[in-house]
Amino acid sequence: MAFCIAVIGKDNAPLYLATSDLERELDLQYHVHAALDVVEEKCLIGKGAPDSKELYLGLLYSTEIHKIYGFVTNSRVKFIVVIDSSNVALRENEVRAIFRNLHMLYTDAVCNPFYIPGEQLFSKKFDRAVQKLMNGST
Amino acid sequence: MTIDGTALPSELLVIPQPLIGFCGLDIARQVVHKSIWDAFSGTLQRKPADRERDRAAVQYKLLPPNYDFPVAKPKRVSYEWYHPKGILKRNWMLKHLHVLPSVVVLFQDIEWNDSQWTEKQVQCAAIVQALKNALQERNTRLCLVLLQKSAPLPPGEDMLAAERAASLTTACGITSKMLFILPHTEHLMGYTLRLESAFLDMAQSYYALMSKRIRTHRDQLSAAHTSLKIRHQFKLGFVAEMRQDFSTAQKHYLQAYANLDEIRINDGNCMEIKTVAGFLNYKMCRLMFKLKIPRDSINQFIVHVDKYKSRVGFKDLAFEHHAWLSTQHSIFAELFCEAIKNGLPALQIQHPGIYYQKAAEYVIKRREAAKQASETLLSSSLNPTDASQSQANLYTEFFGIRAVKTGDPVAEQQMNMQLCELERNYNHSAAIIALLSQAMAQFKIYKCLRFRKKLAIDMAEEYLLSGDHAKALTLYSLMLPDYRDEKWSTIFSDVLLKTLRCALLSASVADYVACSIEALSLRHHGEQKERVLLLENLWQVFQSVPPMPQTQLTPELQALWGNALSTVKSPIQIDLDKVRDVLELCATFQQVQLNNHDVLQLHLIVRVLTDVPLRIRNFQVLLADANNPQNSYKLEALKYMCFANLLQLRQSQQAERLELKTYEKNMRLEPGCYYQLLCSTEAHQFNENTQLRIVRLEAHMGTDKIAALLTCSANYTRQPFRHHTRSRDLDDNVTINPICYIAPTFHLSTQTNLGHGVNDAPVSITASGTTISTTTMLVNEYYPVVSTISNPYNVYLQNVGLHISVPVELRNSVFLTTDVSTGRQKLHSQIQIDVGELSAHGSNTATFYIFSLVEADIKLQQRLSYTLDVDRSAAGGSVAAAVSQSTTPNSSETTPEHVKVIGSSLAAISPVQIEYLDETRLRKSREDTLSVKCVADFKFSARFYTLNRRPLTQVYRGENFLLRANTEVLAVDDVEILDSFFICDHNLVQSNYSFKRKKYTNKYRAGDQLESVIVLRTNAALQDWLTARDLERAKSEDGATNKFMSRQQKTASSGNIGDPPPLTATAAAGGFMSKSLMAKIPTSMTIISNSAALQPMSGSMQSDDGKLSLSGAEESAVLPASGQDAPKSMRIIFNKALEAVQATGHHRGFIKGVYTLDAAQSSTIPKFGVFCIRWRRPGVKEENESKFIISGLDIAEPPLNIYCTIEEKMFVKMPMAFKVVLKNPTTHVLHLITTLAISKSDNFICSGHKQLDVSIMAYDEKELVYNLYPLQVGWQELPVLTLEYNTKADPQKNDSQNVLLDELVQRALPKRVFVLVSVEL
Repeated sequence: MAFCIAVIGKDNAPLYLATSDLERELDLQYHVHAALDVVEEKCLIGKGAPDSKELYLGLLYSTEIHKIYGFVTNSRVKFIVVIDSSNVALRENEVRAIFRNLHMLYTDAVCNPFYIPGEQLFSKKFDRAVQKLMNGST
Repeated sequence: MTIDGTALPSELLVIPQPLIGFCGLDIARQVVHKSIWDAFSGTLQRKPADRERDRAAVQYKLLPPNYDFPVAKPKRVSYEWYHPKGILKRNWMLKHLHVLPSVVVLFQDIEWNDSQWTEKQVQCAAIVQALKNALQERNTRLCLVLLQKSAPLPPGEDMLAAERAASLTTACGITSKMLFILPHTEHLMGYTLRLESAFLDMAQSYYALMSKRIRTHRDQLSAAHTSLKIRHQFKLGFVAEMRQDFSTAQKHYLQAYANLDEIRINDGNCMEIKTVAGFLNYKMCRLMFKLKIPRDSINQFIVHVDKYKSRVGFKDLAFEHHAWLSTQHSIFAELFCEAIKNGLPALQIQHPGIYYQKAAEYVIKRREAAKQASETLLSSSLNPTDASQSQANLYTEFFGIRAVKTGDPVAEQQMNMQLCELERNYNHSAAIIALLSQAMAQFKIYKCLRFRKKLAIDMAEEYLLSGDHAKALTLYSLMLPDYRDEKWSTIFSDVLLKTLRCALLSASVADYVACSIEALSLRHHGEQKERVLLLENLWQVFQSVPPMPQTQLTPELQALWGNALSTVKSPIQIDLDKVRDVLELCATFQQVQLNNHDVLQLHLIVRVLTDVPLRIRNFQVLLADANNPQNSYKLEALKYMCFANLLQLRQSQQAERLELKTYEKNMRLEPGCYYQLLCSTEAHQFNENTQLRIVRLEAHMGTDKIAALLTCSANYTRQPFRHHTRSRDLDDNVTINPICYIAPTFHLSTQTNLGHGVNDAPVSITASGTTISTTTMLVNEYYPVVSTISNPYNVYLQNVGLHISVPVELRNSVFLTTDVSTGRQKLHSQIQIDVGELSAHGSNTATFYIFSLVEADIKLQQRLSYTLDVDRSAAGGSVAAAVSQSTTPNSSETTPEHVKVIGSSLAAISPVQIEYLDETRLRKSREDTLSVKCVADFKFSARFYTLNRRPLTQVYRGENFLLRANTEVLAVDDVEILDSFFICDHNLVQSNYSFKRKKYTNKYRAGDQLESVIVLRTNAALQDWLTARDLERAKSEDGATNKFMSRQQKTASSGNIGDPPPLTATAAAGGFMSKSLMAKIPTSMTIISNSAALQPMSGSMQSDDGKLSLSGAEESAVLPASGQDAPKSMRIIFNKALEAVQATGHHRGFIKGVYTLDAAQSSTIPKFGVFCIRWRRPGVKEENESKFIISGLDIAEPPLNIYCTIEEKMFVKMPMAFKVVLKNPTTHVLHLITTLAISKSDNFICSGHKQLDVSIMAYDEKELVYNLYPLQVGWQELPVLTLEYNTKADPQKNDSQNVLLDELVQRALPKRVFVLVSVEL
């Protein structure tokens, strides 16, 4: 369902990145990294209206193959999901659901007292859950 | 010529404009024609706005005299069996844009009044006819312009013109509307514009007619003529564009595009369809941008690309398809750019850069496809040479159609091969790089810096592929820091490895070394083997050998490396702050503060973070002064210790003395171990009183020839979140002291002995100085202070000096002096004692005295200073091996803020100040405080009484009164009182109440009380008091002038009892002296006298070294009006009490000056004198004097002075004289009645006048003598003498004055006497 799910820290360093296709991981990483431009721009605009508590940033950009969606938490941790452009059946609501689930998984993982904020996420449980989410079998 | 797929023809790209042809203009030879042509074609000056508009609207073409107009094709009657070979003809657009004009304008030079009018008319008609013939079957409009010199007359007036015009038009066969006159006078431009609009109208009608004709063709078409339909729609759109009717044009193009779908696409026609679709799409997109519907334009493009993306056509010619796609994108991107230039706002996610990037991507695909195609095609048996012979047959007169019979596989194959051959010559990389750079520029505009980075990486990759390694390396190494900073390690590793490869291929030693070291980090997920290989190669480079097995490098590359290695600039700097995870360095001072003569120790903790051992040549620590960072020092680590983990390191810090190993060059540092390296040097090489800061840590790696310098700033930051692992992180295990304060050495130590006492007790000498106090300081005491200044060091000190000063708040109440010998007693607020020179281990003493008027905790400021010769160069030379002054501080140093803050605060702590006098001499000084507690000596109070022991409130002139001085010893230590005396004012006369002189022999201790009573009398009222000046004048002047006064004094003093000899003085204004003195001494006066030269103060009245002072003791606060406490005591300071007064007799004189803190109060009150107590401490020679000023009372003029004399001792039954002297101090005669009333009890037998009328002349006196015979022993009431005015003799007096008189009698006469038992008994 999704090509890639990435969790990116507030200083734009990746905390977690999972791809469905290992061969294209580098390329996807480049895409996710580039998507941060759009996230930053959107967050910048969001500063003007502090009331908007909308964490979901929507479609960041799309190419012929990918659609890249973004989500930013209150602590400026960014979630980026790369989805196959050709999958027309996927609705925006479903993307939102992915982000909601991801947010929950992330908060659970971060609540682990042995996790150091700002470090990469190596939690196996989190990884399993994200892989599941990526395959669309939530 | 390019292949149709890869580029759009230029005629498509231009904006179609109506074409107007000019003939008959000979611009080469005729100036007038040239200017006319220029005016039309726009090269002549026109208003820019006009020109813009005109040029957009129309295109002029100069037709040569015998211009070949294209021949019109014969019209088809029916299209039923007509099947065109292609959709769009290659020449159609060109023809209508540039060849076939819509209007042909013939210019002729004919004047109306031309003499050869008829010939010219014929000639003109001939030309017109020729043109008409050429334009047969065309709708091209023809018009005639006559060029005339003169301006035309208004229509209807010039008959000749009208007539000739008519004849000309008929001759030429044109309507009169087609005839224009262009006078080439000064208004050429205006005429030109008018003509232009006329031409444009004609052109419009021409094109309108043309569209109509095309439409009629279309109507004849059947459903089978899809390609013709498309062609017609395209033509209609194109013509509409010519007419500037853009929305219509857009409609037609859209129709054509839609019709294109009706054609079935196969491999053969695929190229043509795509070409035409590309044309139509281009036109549509451009028009939509122009019509301000950019969204539609973008959508159209996306739909277009989607539709044809999958239409590859021939498999072998996939590169052609990709080329077409690339062109589509780049062309669209250009359109987009142009639209943005015309004011279209673009978005971050929708801007031309995206399309440029896509275009570049398609070029990459194109290259891959081409590679594949050439492999498959050229490997086949056909000979490629003959295929490339005829390029021309690749093109036909139709766009996108090749001159190959469709359905002929051999021909197709051949053609494909031909195309492949062409493709091989195409420089893909250049195209990709160009497109990428355009894309990068766009992405930069739209704030997509990360996108742009990705593009830069792509571009670098392309450079690498194309063999331009140097450019690739530059780009890669520019991108490295960004990805490193953002910690995208996967991407970063990828880029790093590519950079390393580029560095290898371009033989860039510095980059190769830097990348290799960085690639050692474990963050790059490689295997250990790879890292070992990297390290081996790195060391090869260090040893000036090209990396990699020699065989893997081409000879050119080897030569390149050889060259690079010989010219490399060593060392290669690598910033470990950026290149993390290879080597961890941190340094700490062992001590936060050091003395100048201590040894500075510094620990460097090193850890290899990767899994391969590293050899490090040496470690150095760069230190700098916090105050002047240009002074920097380098320390090399010489010893080390190795620990397996941090716990051991921790323990080693607690345990003392572990064996240190010497650090050898290129020592192998094993991964995982903690190495503690030790640097040490003597602290005196650094400036004193400065802070040393660790600026940088350096590790050298490599050989003498080529080495890497790994530098690391010393800013150790603790992680806000971290694992609490004692054995893992430095944070919890090591304290980092980034700064070290070099405390200055003060070469002097002092020992201060206070007070009188033996100072032979051994005292341990410390640098800060010791203070021993034996006795407590008392007020008014010259309290000795002995400072022993000693130099325990092995240095020679000069100009040793001790400077002591009284704090400001105690000035004028605490004084200092060095000399207490009787002759020179000078009091100062600050003194400087020059001790001179002190040789090594020498000492000297300085003695001074403190004198205080108040009880206080005195804190004296003491500053000890000396100068010292320093020989810095010699000291530096001896340890040059360890410390080298690095003259060039590194520019990359960064000063952490927190270090600076600590720096300023620490510097303030040091009490030692260092001044550099010159290169070799410095002065050091240290400030201390010397605190001394001063306690009270005596409590003194004085009161005035009348003779009959009533408190005195007012003194009458000539009256005797008592001063009773009470002194209580308050001193904590025993004191010996030597003497106490009262020095009265010159205007007063004193006599001891009892004529016994008081003996002071005993020691007194606190609480002991002393009392002395003094009888005083004044002979002048306050306003008549003498001053010192009056007295001097009186002495010098002749006594005769003051006869009256002296007679008066004589008479007054003749009857005094026990008085000193009479004075010869004139009465003068009293209180003047003290008043004037007050004004002259400022209250805030400070006395600074280091030399003997003192500022002269108020002449003779003020001694140069003496001060009189009145302290605000509690007695002086009480006003005399309160009666009981009338006399007031004031403390004064004078070195000797006798010096305080200008002596005029025994214990008499004038108070020279009074210095008081509350001047306002004391100015009106007279001073009756100074009470002085001379005392000393037991066993000490020095005498001290405590002095108290006695404030006086008001002196009134009495109506009568009464003096009573009585025997000192009375015995019973022994007659004695009771003598009363009445003295008249007034100028009038006094008439008095004296009555002696004997009390009822018979204690006295009395003889004398019981009642007597007395008359006393002015200044005269009368003596009343009574004989008393006491009858009883013990206290006996004396007979009461009463006086009253004789009202009969002096009727002015009344009873009220009698009361006053009675009071005087009460004051003067004793009430009782004590009668002793007779001796005879």
